[in-house]
Amino acid sequence: MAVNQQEIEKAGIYEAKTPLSSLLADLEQIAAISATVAARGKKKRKLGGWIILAGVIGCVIGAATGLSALVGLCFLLMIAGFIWWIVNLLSGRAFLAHAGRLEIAKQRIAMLQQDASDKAPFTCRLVLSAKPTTLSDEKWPGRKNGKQQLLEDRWLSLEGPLLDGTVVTDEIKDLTRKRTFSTPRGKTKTKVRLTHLVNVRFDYPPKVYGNARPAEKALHGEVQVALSATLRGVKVTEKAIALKATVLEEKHILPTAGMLSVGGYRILNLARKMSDGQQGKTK
Amino acid sequence: MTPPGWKCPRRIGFLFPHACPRLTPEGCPDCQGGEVADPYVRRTDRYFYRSYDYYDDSLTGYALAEVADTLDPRFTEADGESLVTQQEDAGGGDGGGYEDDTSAS
Repeated sequence: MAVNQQEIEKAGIYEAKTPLSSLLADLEQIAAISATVAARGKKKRKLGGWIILAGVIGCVIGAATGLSALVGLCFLLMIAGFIWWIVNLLSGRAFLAHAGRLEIAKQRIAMLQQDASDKAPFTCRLVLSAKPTTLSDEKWPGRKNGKQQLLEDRWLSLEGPLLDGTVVTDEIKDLTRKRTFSTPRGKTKTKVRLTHLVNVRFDYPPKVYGNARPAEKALHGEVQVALSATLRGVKVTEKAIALKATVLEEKHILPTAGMLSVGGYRILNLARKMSDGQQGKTK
Repeated sequence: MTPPGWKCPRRIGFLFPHACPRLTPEGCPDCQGGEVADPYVRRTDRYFYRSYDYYDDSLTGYALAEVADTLDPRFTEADGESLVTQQEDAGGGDGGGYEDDTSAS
């Protein structure tokens, strides 16, 4: 599936329902678009720099030779160059700001590809430019003029079936806590804290795995996560396993998603062994 | 050379074992050209899990006991009826009631 460059640059959102190999190819294409946009922006900013330099040189020559018209013209040229430079610094910035998200999505898809059919369609939604929604906006009594905002940016959703009939659902969000307050000197300060939330859910077929709850109890919640991550919960029901972790560093998001998956399947694989054992006994 | 219709007998997979869909072991990154007998077990990239596929027998026993605990231990009238019926059937049929039959030896 071809990616619409203009659309992805403008909206910064990629959405598709297609097999994982196809998703991966699309994300590679987006990576190539990102590189092109970054190179184009750099080239344009360089041009802005040259225009500013030409304006400065023109001003100096004009001042030295006493040509006031040349000074005025070159001054305008300098301003135009500066505006050009600023515009190109800001344009496409939102789309390029989260290059890490693209890499995480690509590697997560490659990870799931090992246990999924080449033909099974997966739903993917990847947001490359930050689009946070406000969860709460309230007074923060801790400080003078204190205000606290909680923002959520759900940037990756991935869902599809694996070879064993289990449906895997990934969801990665950025949670931001923004606190604004006044210092005793009257200055306004803003403190921002960012946490990544990784949710992995497996809707497993009970025909294959039976009930996974006894297996989870037997393993005593044996799920480990990456260094800057904290396991927030493992919920096992007769039909699904949901695992949740918060991550402080972006580089630990992918390992955490992998560890949650491996931890979830450690439970499911034991459940399957038990289910097979019980079926063997009843036969 | 791989014979036509050859099916790989090896287990592959990252999260769970499944059949290998390849038509030849040549150039296979999982079994490395047929060198690895069980590529699923031999993987070493599952983070903290060194023996991902191994479960101690006590774990399976514990989990099975958990299953047994979830079953309702109380007998109902229906259970009693089914037990009686099963015994009668077994006793009359294939000699399953031997233990309760005092006349037998």
